[in-house]
Formats: sequence, C-alpha cells, structure tokens
Amino acid sequence: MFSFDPHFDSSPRPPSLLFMNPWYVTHLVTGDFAPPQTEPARDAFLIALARGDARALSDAYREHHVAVRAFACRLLGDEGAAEDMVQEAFVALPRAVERFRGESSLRSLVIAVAVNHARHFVRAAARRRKGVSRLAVEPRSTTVAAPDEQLAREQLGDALFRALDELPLDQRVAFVLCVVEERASHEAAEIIGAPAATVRARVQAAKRRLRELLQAGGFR
Amino acid sequence: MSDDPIERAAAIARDRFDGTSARARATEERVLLASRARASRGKRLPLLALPLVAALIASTAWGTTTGAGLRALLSNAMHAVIGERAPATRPAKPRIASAQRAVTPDPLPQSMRDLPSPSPSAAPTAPLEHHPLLAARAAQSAAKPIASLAPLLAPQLVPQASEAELTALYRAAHRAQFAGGDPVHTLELWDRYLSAAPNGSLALEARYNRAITLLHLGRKAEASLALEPFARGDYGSYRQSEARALLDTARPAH
Repeated sequence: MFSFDPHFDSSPRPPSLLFMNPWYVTHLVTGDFAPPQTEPARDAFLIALARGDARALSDAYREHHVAVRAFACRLLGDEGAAEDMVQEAFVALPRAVERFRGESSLRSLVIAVAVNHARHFVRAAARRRKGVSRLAVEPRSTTVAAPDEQLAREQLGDALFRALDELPLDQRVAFVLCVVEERASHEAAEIIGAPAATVRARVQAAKRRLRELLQAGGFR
Repeated sequence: MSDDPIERAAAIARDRFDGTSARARATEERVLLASRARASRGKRLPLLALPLVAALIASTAWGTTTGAGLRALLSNAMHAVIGERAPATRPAKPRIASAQRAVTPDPLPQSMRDLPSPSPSAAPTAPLEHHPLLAARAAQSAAKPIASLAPLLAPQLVPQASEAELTALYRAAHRAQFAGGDPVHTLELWDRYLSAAPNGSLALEARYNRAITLLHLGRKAEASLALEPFARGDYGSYRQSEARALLDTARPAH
C-alpha cells in the first residue's frame, strides 16, 4: 500500500540518487523505514536522515536510543540530564550525518554527537550532585531499608560518579567508554576522534586519579 | 567480583543504567518536534532575509546615485511619518534640545538640492512638540500618577536571591524537616524555597521533601497531588518507587 509521509521534505538534494535506490522506493511503497542492511540502502537511509526526514530520524532513534541513553547515564550519573543529552544528540544527528563518511557505524556516530554535546550536561549533573551531597544526612530511601551489601554497592556507585566529576572531560569519556562500557580502545577512538593510543593513555590517567579518589573516600 | 574498587564501581555503573527509560517515547516525540522546528526555521530564513537584502541593495544603489547614504533614506522616511522635514545627512540630535530652538534645516548638499522638493502636505513644518500625537501622549503621561509605574518597574527592582541564599534556605528547610522541626514551619520554608527557585538546582528534591512534609501534616490529598508526578515518572526514576509506596499509604482504603 502506498504510504505518504507528510514530513518528508521532497525538495532539495539528489532526488535521482534516492529514486534510483530500490530500498527507498520500497520505503515509499510500503512505508517500512526500518534501518536497511545493504550498502546502497544504507546510503539512501543516511541521505534521508541527513535531510531531517522524520521517519528516518524516528527509526534511527528507535534503533540506537537505548545505547545512547545507557552511555549518557553512565557518563553523567543522572537520568534527567541524560534524557536531555539523548534528545540533543538525536536533534543534532541529521547535521552530523551530512558530514559522515561512513567510516564508523551509525551508533558510534550518535554516541560521538552525544560526546560533543556532553560538556554542559556534565557540568549540570556535577553541580546537582554537589548540591545534594552538601546536604549530608538525607536518607536514600524513605520506605525501604536496603540490605548492607546493596547499600555498599549504591555507595560505591555514587562515589564513582562523584570521583568522575573531578576528572577532565576527555578522561571521563574515555573511562566510561572503555572501562564502564567495555569498548575496545579502537572503537572508543572512533567515537572520540582521537588515536587509540591517546584513548588508552586517558583511560590509564583516569584510573590512577579515580583510584586515589576512591581510596580517599574509604573504598579499597 | 573483582577486588579492584574501580572494576567493581564500573560494574555497578553498568548495571545501574541499562539504557531503558519510561521517558523514551516522550523523548522521541521531542526529538521529532525539535527537528521539524529546526527544518522549518532553515526554510524560513532565506524568505526573511530576502526583503532585507532587497532593501540593502536598493538603498546602496540610491545612495550611490544621489551621494547620500542609507541614513538619509531612513531619516527622511521616519520624518515624513512624524511630520517634520529632516536634515538630510546629519545624525539625529536629542529632541528635547532641539525643541527650544527654531527649526532651521541644515544646508543640503548640491546633489540633494537638485531633487524635486516634497509636497507641503507630505511634510508639514509644525514643530515636533506641537504634533497632536505627542501632545496627547504628554497629556496622558502627566495625568497618570507616578505610582502607576510601580507595577511595571517592580519586577526589575525585586532582588533575585543569590545561589548562596537559596542554598541556605534549602539547608534550613532540610534541617527543619530531618532534624525534627515543626512541620508547619518546614512547609513554609519549602514553599519559600520553591517560590524563590521554582527551577533551581534542588527544586526536585524540594518538591519531594515538601510532599513528605504535607504527609506529616496529614494533608494527604495535597501530598498525593505532589507525589503523583514522581510516581508517574515525570522526573525519571528519581524517588519513583518511594512516591508510589507513599501514594499507596496516603490514599484512603476502600
């Protein structure tokens, strides 16, 4: 059945490329905009995405939002700020795709966009954490008493995010990508846009500093 | 599990955030809306710029042919509307000073003198302060008491609380709540904080703590209203489970 997308901008940029592409024509006919697997189909998907096509953007979001949100949360330690960062990353995605040459996966590209927008979200999350931690005695939960082990885990997690607030942004990003998310250094390098050796050096520096900070906080 | 605190902490951070969120769908809608707004802004921009570019080109062409600049064009147009013949090339002077002097137009450059003079009906020569519009405005402002300006000025004069003051206020409210203070006074402090910083960095915590205070006071209906956004997940998972549990206890049993 023919399906028409009212948000699809049919004006500029190479229409011939699009209409010569079997995946794109299939999309027009079926309305199925699931991210394509084949190379030409992927190109057409990226072209549509670069043009800000609502369907393409929606599909990219559905495919990658979990990974981007997980990264944002692990980087910021604050779900509210992470949600805003996810939004900003996907809003900026079409413009980033315009410059994208296909050297990495789309997921890496979205995370790279998120990294590029991270600075003020990191600051906001750190400010918020500092504000809360200054208030000392507020209990974590008003209803449920957590068992000791669970409480210790919570405290270590909180301590990690407080310690991450003390790191420079590039070390923090490298640590989260390589240690928390367990990515290979070459994959993190693609996202960050720096050589793999630089990423490894940042991770080592981050670990050294974090170890000091955690030990100072009584975590051994 | 590893003995290294960093590895353990990293594993905890990994487990704590798996990337799922109740707000994912809402975020998708916001992304699409923002992207649509950005696209339409991009399309409108050339249309908005077109008249400006046209005006710039026209004024440049006019300025080149007559020797006068864009300023003279604008100045003449403005004074034709107000009703006073404008000096062609001099910058505008303060009107209060000029009102005390006879209006004596500056000598025009030769190129301007060659142009046909505007019709008298288009440019009446009455002094500016005698213009009916200005006279009416002056009478209106004289009749208006000075006090009536106060509400207009008030928002600018109200001092904004500094971050340190807000933190002190939060701390006082927090102490009152968690160190066994009077709940009525605690509620007053939370209300003061929230009215001073409705979007402050600690507004979320203040809202939650205010809801708890309302529960302490037995004002269950208001407490339920305050807790519902937390329970619904409007603020993510922050205090969501606690708010749900508290709502269950706050609601009257049927």
